[in-house]
This record gives sequence, structure tokens and C-alpha cells, in this order.
Amino acid sequence: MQTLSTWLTNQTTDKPVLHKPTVQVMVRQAQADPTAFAALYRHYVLDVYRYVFSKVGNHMETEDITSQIFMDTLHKLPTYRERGNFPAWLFTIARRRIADFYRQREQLADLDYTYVVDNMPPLLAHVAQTELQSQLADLIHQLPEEKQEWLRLRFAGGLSYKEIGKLVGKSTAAIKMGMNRLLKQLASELEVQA
Amino acid sequence: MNKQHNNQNMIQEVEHLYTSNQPNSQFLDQLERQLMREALNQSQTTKKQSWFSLNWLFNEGMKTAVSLTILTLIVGAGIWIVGQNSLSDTSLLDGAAIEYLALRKPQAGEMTLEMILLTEEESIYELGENVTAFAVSPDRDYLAYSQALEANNPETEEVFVMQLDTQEVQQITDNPITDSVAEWSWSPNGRYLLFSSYPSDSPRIVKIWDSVTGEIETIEDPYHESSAPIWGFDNNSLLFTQETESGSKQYQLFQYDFETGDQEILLNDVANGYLQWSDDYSKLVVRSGDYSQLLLLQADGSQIVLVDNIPSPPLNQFGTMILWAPDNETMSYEVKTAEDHFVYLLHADSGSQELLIDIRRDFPQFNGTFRVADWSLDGNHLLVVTGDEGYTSLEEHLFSLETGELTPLNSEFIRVQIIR
Repeated sequence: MQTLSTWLTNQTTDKPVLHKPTVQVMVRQAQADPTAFAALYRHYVLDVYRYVFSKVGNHMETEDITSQIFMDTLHKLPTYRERGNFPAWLFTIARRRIADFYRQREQLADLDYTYVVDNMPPLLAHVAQTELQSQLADLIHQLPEEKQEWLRLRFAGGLSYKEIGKLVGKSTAAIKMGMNRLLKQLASELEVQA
Repeated sequence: MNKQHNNQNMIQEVEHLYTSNQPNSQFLDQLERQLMREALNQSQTTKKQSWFSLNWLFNEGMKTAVSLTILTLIVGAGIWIVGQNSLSDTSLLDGAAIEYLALRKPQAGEMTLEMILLTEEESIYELGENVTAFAVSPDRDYLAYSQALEANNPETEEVFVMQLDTQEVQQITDNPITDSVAEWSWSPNGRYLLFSSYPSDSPRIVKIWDSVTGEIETIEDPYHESSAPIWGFDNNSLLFTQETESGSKQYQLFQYDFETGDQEILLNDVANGYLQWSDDYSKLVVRSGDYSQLLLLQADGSQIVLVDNIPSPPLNQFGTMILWAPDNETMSYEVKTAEDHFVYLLHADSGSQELLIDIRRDFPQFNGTFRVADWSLDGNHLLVVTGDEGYTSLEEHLFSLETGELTPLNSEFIRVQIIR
């Protein structure tokens, strides 16, 4: 059997673009036979991992949470009903798991949740390779949490505007326009800094 | 540095920031193997289990619940009670592919809400555990429910809405710290879901989710120091009780039209927050400021005094005293004093009342910890909750209006709401 790491190595891009019916077929197959879940796992694991990492900032905890998310997804899959939004469903599970993580961390540290969120490290700064990316990472970190979440869902999670809208309770148009404005705002602020 | 950062460049730069963290390939392989082991295990066990179905209920459930002679079905806003044999009477259920919602209690303190396709006797959707409340919209298109993300932790409750034909679920509240899950309600036409949010750094915000647009509108709340809002006499207005002056403890009932911003005082000298709609939103019961009267308001503006001279102190356990029967004409209401605890039936058309239960006399074993929680759809039974002094351990019973008997409900009982 080809392992996932081999499979990943053979990918020229991050993940193949699958049309909705294909994802639906993968979901149905996994519902009929849980061992077919591997296809879904392989298709979404990078998106989920990156999204989790963008929220928690270290690999060890990201691995723990990602494992929990996929285990939850596997267990809950029989109850999922095809509505054409499997990614939104998957990321709902992911967001809950991350929320659990922060709640537990808050309890452990006896800290106020807001304090924890406000004092999260500027995660993106770790990966910035150029001055431009460093500046961009700083600018993103200064954005309101809601907007940072949009960026994480879009660029780390690979979700469509529609899927993001479903997750955050806004219309597709509102997300699309908001994201466009956000990118323009970032570009404009970068120019000011330059 | 290139000063021209257009959106396409920005997308690439932002994408790079978010995608340059690669997972460890060993971890990915390990997790895949772990998932496959679990999947294999799951595929073997799911074939053996029919963890909930009507077959299970009747075959297994009946063995352990011989005393359970009735199954409780909630239809619409009330409880529909049928004998155990009549559940198989498809004429009751029209013989069609009827879906219904079941609130199951596998163990004390746990609630699992499921959607079941009745004719196929299979659970077609499980909303999950820790569901604390649910309500189908009046137009039967949506189901709203609140669910705790962590067991027994009300602070983690969120409100969700599911479109019943597609089963698409949307989370409505998004902040367990500020959004209140206790104060949500459908508009009379079923289009809107109202809820309140209490940010730590600003006054209360009233939010309305629109099922047509899928958007949440934040509306101006001129009465943020008032009671939580409920729907008004139409789908565009809200009702609040508000102090006439801060600290006065004198309250007025306001109607606020959030489309036009118009405000109107409907009643002076009312009890704070004591507002109870009939199920069809045609009649509203309000309590007078001194708690001694129950007043009935109707959409045409008419007001009548339903009950005078209610003894004090008022019953305020669980916050609700009036319960409308499904006929939208009759109500039950409780009166509890240091010496007495009564349940009366009250008729909206005449204001006449009759003593239904003298709890201390008829059911002294509950020592006053007795509360009427709901009506049956046919109006013949009441769901009664009893408990210890602190209501930390609850038991449910059915009270027959015909015989006056109280029948305990087995913990496996389900509440069902037919939605198609």
C-alpha cells in the first residue's frame, strides 16, 4: 500500500482539486465502508493540519488536535448527511476541537480565555522568509480575530467563500467582498510601510 | 521591495505564510494507520449495533420498562401521548415517510437529539449529545437547538439551526462567552430567530438570524437595561419590559418596531420580564407590577384581567408560571406560598379558573418541589418535573387531567416532534 507520505511526495501541488460530486462519492463510500475513510483523510489532512497549526502554533499540539479531529470525523461520519458541504462540516469539528484545546489550556493555566487569545504568539512570523512576509505577518496579527480567522480558513484550510460563510454565519457575498477588501487593505498598508 | 502589491500578489504572499508549515510525514502515516484500525473496528461493530431504533425501543426498551405504558410524543408545541400499541397504528402517522425528532435521554443528564425516519425505523440524523433545548420553526422549515459543546458545561452552549429538508446545519451563536443561548425564539412566521448577546465591553446586542438570507442582523436595542426581548405582535417588532426610571422597580411594557424604530408603551406597571405568548402568538399574558394580577393582551389591543388577587410571594422557580395549552385558550398556572402549592386551570375567554392539583395534599412526597413543564398535544396530560430541594436531580411524570394520576416516566422515554 502506498503510504500517505509517499503519496504526498508525489503530489505536484498541495492537493488535487476535486469537484463536489467526487467528494460526495468519497463521503458515501466512507459511510458505507469506514475503511474507505482514507481517501477523505488524504484529501483533507493537509488543510486541516495547516489550519490547526495556524491557530495553535506548534507541531506537537497540532498533531494531537489533528488526530482528534479526524478520529471525531470518522466516528461522526455515519450521522453526516450529504448537503454538499463536507469541508464546512469537517472544519466545524476542527473549530470545536481547537476551542476545546484553548479551554483546557485556559483551565490548566488558570488564565482568562481572552488573555490567552490576546497573548497568542504571532504564529505567522515563524514562517516568514522575507522582509515582506515578516511585515505581512505583523499586519495580519494586528487584524481583528474575526478577519484573521477568515484568512486562516481560506489560506490554511483551503475553504471556499461559501464554506467560510457557512462556518462563520455570513453570506458568501459578504465573505467574498470582505476578503477582497482585506487583501486590498493589507496591500495598501504594506505600501505605506515600504 | 516591489511597491505594487495587487490582490493577486497578496494572495500568493498570504498563501505562502499559511501553507509553508508541513506536517511530519511519519505523523501522517501513523495517524492514517490509526484511523484505519479504528475504521476496521467500526465497520465490524456497526453491523452488530442498532443502537437506537423503534425496534430497539419496543424490543429491548420494553423489557426494562414494563411499567412504561405510554410513550410520549411531542408534536408541535405539546406532548402527544399514545398508548404503546397505538404507535404502530400508521393511520395516526398517515403511513407516509414521516420524519420526527427525538430527544432521547440515554442517561440522566444527557440528551441526544435525533431525527428519525419513522417508516424505515432508522435514525437518519443525530445532532449529538448534550442538546439542551430544541424548537421547530412555526413554518416547519427549520429546527433550532442549543447544545453544550462540553457535557454539563452550560458556558459552552451554542445555538444551531438546521434546515430540515437539506439537514444543513448552521451555527448561529459564535461566542459562548457573550451570546446567550437561553433567550432565543422563532418569529411568529418562522422566518427569523431572535437571540441576545452580552459582550463584556458594551450593552446587550439583539441579533436576528434571517433564514432567507442566512445573515445575522444586529438591531438597535434601545432597552438594553430591560428584560430580554421577545417577539411582538408581528414579525417586525419586539417586546421588552423596562424600568420607568433607573432603580424605581416600576416597569412598563414596550413594543419596539425594529424596521421603523417606532416605540410604543403597551402597558404601565407590569412585572419585569413576565411575558408569555400563546403558541399561535394571538394572546399574551402579562403580570401586573405587584404580581397580584394576570393580564391578557390580544393583537387587537384589548386587555382583560384574567386573575386578580394572586397570593404572594409569587412563584418564580424556573421563571415560568403560565403554560398555554395547545388549544391556545386554556392555561395552567401554579401558585406557591409558604403553606400551599396549587396548579390551576385558567380559561382565557372567560377568565374562569379551577383547581387542578393541590400538590401538598395530593402529592406530599414531593415536598413542594413539583413543577408543570408542558402540555400534551391533546390537552389531556401535563408533563410534570419533580426533584430534590435544589432541583439537582430531576424526575419526569405525566399527570392525567382525566384521572388525576401521576405516572413516572422511564429515563428512556423520548420526546418526539413530528416535522413532516
